[in-house]
Amino acid sequence: MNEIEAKEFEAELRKIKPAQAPDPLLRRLEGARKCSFHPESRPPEGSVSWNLLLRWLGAGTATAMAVFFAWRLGWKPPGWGVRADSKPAATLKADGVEVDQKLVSSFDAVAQLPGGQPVRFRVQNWMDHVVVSDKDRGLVIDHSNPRVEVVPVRFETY
Amino acid sequence: MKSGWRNETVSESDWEQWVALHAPRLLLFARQQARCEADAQDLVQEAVVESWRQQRDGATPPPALVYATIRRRAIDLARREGRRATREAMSQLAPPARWFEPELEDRERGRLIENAMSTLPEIYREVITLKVWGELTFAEIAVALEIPANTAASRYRYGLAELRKVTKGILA
Repeated sequence: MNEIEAKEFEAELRKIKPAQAPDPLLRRLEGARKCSFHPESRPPEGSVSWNLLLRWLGAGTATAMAVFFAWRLGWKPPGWGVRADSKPAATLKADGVEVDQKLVSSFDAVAQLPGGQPVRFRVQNWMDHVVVSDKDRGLVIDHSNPRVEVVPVRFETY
Repeated sequence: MKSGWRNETVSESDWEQWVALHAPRLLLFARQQARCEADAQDLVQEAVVESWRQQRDGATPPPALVYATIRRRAIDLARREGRRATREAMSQLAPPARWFEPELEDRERGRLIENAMSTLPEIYREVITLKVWGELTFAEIAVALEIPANTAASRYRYGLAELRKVTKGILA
């Protein structure tokens, strides 16, 4: 197909017009225009929006006030003034450590699996006790922690 | 009309003229992109509104931008599997809308062209639609379809030749 034939064919195609848009769609487009576009709400290009300016001014003032009061009260954020290379306080040098555990109680509990098979658990309550002392500093850390141990026990080995 | 912000916005009658001119063209393109009439009309409305909001001066949007938006939204729509099932169900219920104006003398020709266009691969059909009925330039088609202008031109030539083969005897 040469250029002239293409032009003629194109002209023939153009004679066939696209179907008109249905009225409901035209009404929707009209409605969408009215609902979606409000020129009054958009500022002229290049002009200052006073609402926006006031909003930023308000936020800036509140932040400045907060910083000022924090400074007056001597508050410092965590890590403020601490240098990264500063050494931590001297560590604890324990010269005595005692670890102990006491069995407080022990009992067995029997439960039933969904299939009806019995299963036995041994429940033991322990009390762990740790004492760390540093005589040079006159420091004693005494810590106790309860612990529950549940162990399933097979009937054959019970 | 172009002196200030308020004056730059289109008047009611300007808008009605724009809609009357472009709505059939946009809908023709949207009908080829969507699988049912309801989706096609939704695509047109959403694309017009979205394109219009992008115009800082409130003027009517450039048609190439609206076509590009229709195409992008149609792709998004097709990706949504849930919507696809609904659309297919709807397309079975509603009769397909005619692409071309059903005037008495052209009714048969319009139907045959529509059938012939349907047989073309989409890449040719959309270029022909935008060039012939959308009256876009190849540069504008390139923007709308996100392809180089040369590709748009070659697809148009090839698609037009294919369409002519199919419609031989119907059109000159």
